[in-house]
Amino acid sequence: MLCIDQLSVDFPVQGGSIRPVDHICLEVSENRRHVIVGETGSGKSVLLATILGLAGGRVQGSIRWNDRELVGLGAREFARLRGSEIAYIPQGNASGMNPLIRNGHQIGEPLIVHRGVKRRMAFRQAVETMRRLDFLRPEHWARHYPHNLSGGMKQRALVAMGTIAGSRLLLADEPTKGLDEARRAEVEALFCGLEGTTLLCVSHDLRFTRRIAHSASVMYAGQLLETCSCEALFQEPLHPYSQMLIASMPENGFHFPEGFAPSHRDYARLGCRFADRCPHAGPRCGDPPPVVQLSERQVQCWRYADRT
Amino acid sequence: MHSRTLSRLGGKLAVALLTVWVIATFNFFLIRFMPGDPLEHLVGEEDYLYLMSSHAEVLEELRAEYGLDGSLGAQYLAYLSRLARFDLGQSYKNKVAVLDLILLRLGRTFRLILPAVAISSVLGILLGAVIGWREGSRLDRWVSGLSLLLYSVPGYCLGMIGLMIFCFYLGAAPSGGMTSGGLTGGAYVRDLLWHMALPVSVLTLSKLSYNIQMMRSSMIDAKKEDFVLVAQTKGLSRRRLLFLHVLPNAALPMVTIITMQMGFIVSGSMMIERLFNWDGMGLLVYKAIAANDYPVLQGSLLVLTLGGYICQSSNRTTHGKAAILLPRRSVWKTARDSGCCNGPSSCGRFQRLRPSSMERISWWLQTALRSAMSIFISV
Repeated sequence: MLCIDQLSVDFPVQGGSIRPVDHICLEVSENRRHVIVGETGSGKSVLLATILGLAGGRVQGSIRWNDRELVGLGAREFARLRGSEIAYIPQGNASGMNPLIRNGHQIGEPLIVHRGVKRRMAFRQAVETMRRLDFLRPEHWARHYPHNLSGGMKQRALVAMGTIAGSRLLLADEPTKGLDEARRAEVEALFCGLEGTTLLCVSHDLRFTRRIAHSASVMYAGQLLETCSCEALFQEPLHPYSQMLIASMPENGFHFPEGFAPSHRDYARLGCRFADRCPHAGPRCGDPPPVVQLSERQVQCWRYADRT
Repeated sequence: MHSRTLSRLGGKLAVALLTVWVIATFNFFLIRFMPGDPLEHLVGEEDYLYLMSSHAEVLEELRAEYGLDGSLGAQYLAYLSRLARFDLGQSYKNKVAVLDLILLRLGRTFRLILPAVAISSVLGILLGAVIGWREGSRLDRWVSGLSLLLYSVPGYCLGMIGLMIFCFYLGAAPSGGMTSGGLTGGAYVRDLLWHMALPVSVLTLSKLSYNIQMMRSSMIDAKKEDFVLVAQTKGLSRRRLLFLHVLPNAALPMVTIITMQMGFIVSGSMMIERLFNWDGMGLLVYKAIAANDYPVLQGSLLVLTLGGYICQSSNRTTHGKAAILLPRRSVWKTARDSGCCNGPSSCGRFQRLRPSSMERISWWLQTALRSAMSIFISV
């Protein structure tokens, strides 16, 4: 179980600091698929990098993976965790593999590093993992280089690389970015078919989210505005921003959300960060909205403050 | 398919022949326009003046003997016809065949250059990789600063400083020459290495800084690639990440740089050879210029320029080399051969390996200017 509590990340910039991830609380239970949707710059990728311990910056709050605290872990301990417990699939998977190393060796590398397996054995296990992930002729592809693989195959190879050493938590950064419909369906099938793995995925892609997610969060300007089950989000979004997002889907009429997210530097002095785009904004919205716990879901908006 | 390969080979051969002709012609006329008369050095200055004033016919005879009579055009044609028979002529000074002379001296020059290139590339790649990896650290600042300082000091200046410190003050190194003479076996090798140490280090240092800087910037580019992040998320140790993932990718442009260095370092080592009295190609050219020894000059300049050209064009066809280092290359090569794309557009950073015709022309110009400069400086 992944448990993120009051997580904030600060980066020093010229003349102060910015906080692209601000007091985030999130729980993803074992074997569930959680998707965080949000626009560019909302802090999704920083959140993932923070879980991996690669974000840099000043991290406050807590991230617990299976009751193990990750914040404040030393560099070496974190390295031991990455690849063996937590795996990552990068944004734009085309360049995610080293062009100079054969697929099999590359996929087997976590075994060499974490399990002390010999190079040749790791290669053989990589072939087996590739077979499990629906590679036709895995022996053949394992001997080839990443450029020989198609986009979908590369994605599967990256998943193989992440899961080969038994990682239980898979972090994926926009896995459908730049893929065509068929490949997208392939990725969906791949993610839905993962067993014994907790998936935390970050995406712009609402349709993809709807198909694969058990639960979803909407991220905006460094905060999670709404967290709920996937059906609830698509059937009955509560937060005005979620409503705008859902309305922007083609089947809901393509209502494009107007305006832009505030600059990172303005986060601190704004009350509700969505207020200037919000159709329901009132005088209360000048203050930071409370996080409202409704049954099974969590919304950060003044409109629901009275409902608890 | 077969005839296509043949015609491509034929085309390459024609280009190579044309290159040899251009280089030979350029060298021929460059040398003829040098001031001074070769006969003056052959008979000695006083005799030359005496013969000139009273026995001009003796000088004419000598001129005919050395093939210096007749118009410039006739001499040029005679030179070309000899060249076509792979005859580079004889040295005016000691009547030794120029080709033998060059082969002997080339071997000695390589004794300096090959270790220097090898050490400077290995050290340059390693140091550049480490400081590029730790960009902005104290180590980076120091090594970068030092290498920039070294880069701005000319090679011969470094050589003189080295001589002053290690030979004059410390007495730890010989002041020049290749061997002490009269030694055989292990003692000879040790003596040779002792003599090589200072010139090789000077050459290495003067090339090292460039390699470090190139490798550093290439490393800084490479470590931002996505696969490095992925490799990090696999939990690799920093050393494994650096040496197995980032360094091999960053070192690819170095292949080009090092092969190009091989070409230029031959001309660059002339000053060093002169300084350390190392009897190699550089010293041969230097002395031939001083003595107006036309055949030796023509021959050695031709060989040097051709050497540079071969390095350059092997660079252009780095297909072979890069295919070993870079598996992806074979893909676009087949793609280009089958006509579905005309170049490595999908792997942009390797475009650099294939110089355009413009680059080749500019390289020719550079080489020509370099030989012209070295001749006029020496004169």
